Amino acid sequence: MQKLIELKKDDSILVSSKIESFFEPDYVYLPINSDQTFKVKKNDFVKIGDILLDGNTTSIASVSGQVKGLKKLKSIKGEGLFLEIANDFKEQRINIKKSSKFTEETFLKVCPSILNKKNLVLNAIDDEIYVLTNNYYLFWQKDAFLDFLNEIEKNFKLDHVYICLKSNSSENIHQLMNDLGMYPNIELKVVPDLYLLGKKSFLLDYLSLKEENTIFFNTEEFYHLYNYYKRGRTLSDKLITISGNAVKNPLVIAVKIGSLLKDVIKEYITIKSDDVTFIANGLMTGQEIDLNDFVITSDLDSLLIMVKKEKPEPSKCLNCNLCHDICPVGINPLWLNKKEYYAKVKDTCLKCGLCSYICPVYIKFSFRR
Amino acid sequence: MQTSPFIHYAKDKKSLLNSYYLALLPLLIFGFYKNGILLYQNAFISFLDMFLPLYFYLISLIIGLIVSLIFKKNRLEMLLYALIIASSISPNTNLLIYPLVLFASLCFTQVLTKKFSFNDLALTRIIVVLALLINSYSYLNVAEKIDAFNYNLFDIFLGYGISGLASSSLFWLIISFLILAFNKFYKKIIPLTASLSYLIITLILFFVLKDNSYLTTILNGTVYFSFIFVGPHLYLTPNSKKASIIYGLAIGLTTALLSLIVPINEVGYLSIFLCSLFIPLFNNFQYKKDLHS
Repeated sequence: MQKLIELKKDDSILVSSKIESFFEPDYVYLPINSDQTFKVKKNDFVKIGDILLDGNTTSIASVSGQVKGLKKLKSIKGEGLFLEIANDFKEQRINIKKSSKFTEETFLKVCPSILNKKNLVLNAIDDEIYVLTNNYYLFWQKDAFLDFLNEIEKNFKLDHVYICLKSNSSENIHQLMNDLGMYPNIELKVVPDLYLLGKKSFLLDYLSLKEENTIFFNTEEFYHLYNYYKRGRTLSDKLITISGNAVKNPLVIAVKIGSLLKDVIKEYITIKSDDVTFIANGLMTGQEIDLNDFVITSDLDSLLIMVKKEKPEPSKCLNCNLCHDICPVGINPLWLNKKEYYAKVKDTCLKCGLCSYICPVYIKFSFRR
Repeated sequence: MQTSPFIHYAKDKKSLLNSYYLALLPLLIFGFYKNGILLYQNAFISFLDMFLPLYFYLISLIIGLIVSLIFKKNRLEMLLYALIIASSISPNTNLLIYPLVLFASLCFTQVLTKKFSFNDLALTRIIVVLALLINSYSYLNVAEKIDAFNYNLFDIFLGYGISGLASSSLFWLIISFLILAFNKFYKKIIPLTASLSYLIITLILFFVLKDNSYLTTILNGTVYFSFIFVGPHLYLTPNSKKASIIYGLAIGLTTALLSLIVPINEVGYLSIFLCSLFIPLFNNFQYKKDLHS
């Protein structure tokens, strides 16, 4: 197995064990991709679960209300056009047939990839430091998840069902240990706090499981699967972690997809410094964002609010080769400025940021080309 | 991917420089003891002459500081370079000529490195020998000249052999290496492979030529000093681990072979300088291999 490392942390940055919810935004905004076509018109009334945009991906209404028009906003993918829906706060949903009784046949319709699998892994690991989104999905829906896992295990006669948690999630470990006695076939796997161990390939490698025999879920995926199959609900909300050294009251918040991030911050977060940086999706792989007009989309997992700090100036490379040694997929970042090598490895790179993390002279490898 | 200023490995280049200074410290102290205090205690030199090693350390630091100011180089790096050179020079180096030669050679190599790629520290050290040639070419201190102490191989291992000012003790060099090896950024693979190949070739030479002087050669501190402090140059080393192994092996092999014709106290630096000229070749070889793998 590739040698993984533990990241250096500031122990004073914590995440509260309380989950808040922000389910009543005045407006929600759905990003419009270039390949999508509109399924609704201005002033149309929509219900939660209605398909509003269709194409390679579909966009589904996360609130019920009226389509107001288009607006230029920002998300983790950059600036673009968004479809604005005014919330009527009635929470009306389209009817999806839910399965009152778990059967192999109905479950295979929503999750065909489980067929012929021997193991199931539920991954509640967050790789990014100060982020506990994946972890909190488990914490939030623990009883429902355990029942659902138990049903899956019994119906599909799986050899192993693993719930994976990092060793530093002591609160979750303690609670699960109490409940797992009722589910003898579900095993808790406490893994070391190593960066990237939450990635499918590394975790399966750590558990000595073969990919072809194993079905793998992150807790967020599992939550949506559970909601769809058991409750007949489409993807309309998600958890995000809001933390950082500039946050007085760090939180994990359940939000409506399409809400404005600024509204959530205004409602729940107290920022203790004037000069701060907003980082979306973690310090290692995330990016600095402008909070104004920033929309919470399904691919936003966290927001870290950090007291501004001067960026260290990169200096001449020492050729210490640590960037190469630490790379989990064996890329030599020092050769990325060579066209042929870049072409060879660009799809292999995990963009995990470890090469820049370890560099003693603060080289930002992604900017070398 | 991005590096935010909020997350980084606990250490950076500064920690490597600190490790270098820390690793040099026991050698500098032992150099002062062997070539100063011990000679004074046995009445071979005067009280003032006892401080000669300290003079060389200090004057080197001053010259390093001046050169760093002239060329706007990192002060800590230039002071380290100067101190490494001071540690390896002969105790017989002319104390008036030395500062001039060190200054000139540091300036010369700094200019040259702007156009060419080579181990400037090794070349500076080679040029500094000129300051020694003004007197007579010898690394013997006053006691060694009259063979006052009868040292065995273990004493030579401890550092009482004929060598540079602060580079004679293999024992303290091992300690220095361990200090450096604990730093993640130190390129330990180069001194390790260089020492290994040097040891093997010299042992073969010893068994083939049946010459006992090779045993003293094996224990010569200056050679290992060059492997530990000059070979893993702060910047100019191969850019992959495998190429670094080849580079280290090449240094050890060249040192062992050149020691047949070049004085032992200079051969390490000469080999490193020569091998450093081929670094682009080592890099290219490994790059091509990786690209097509």
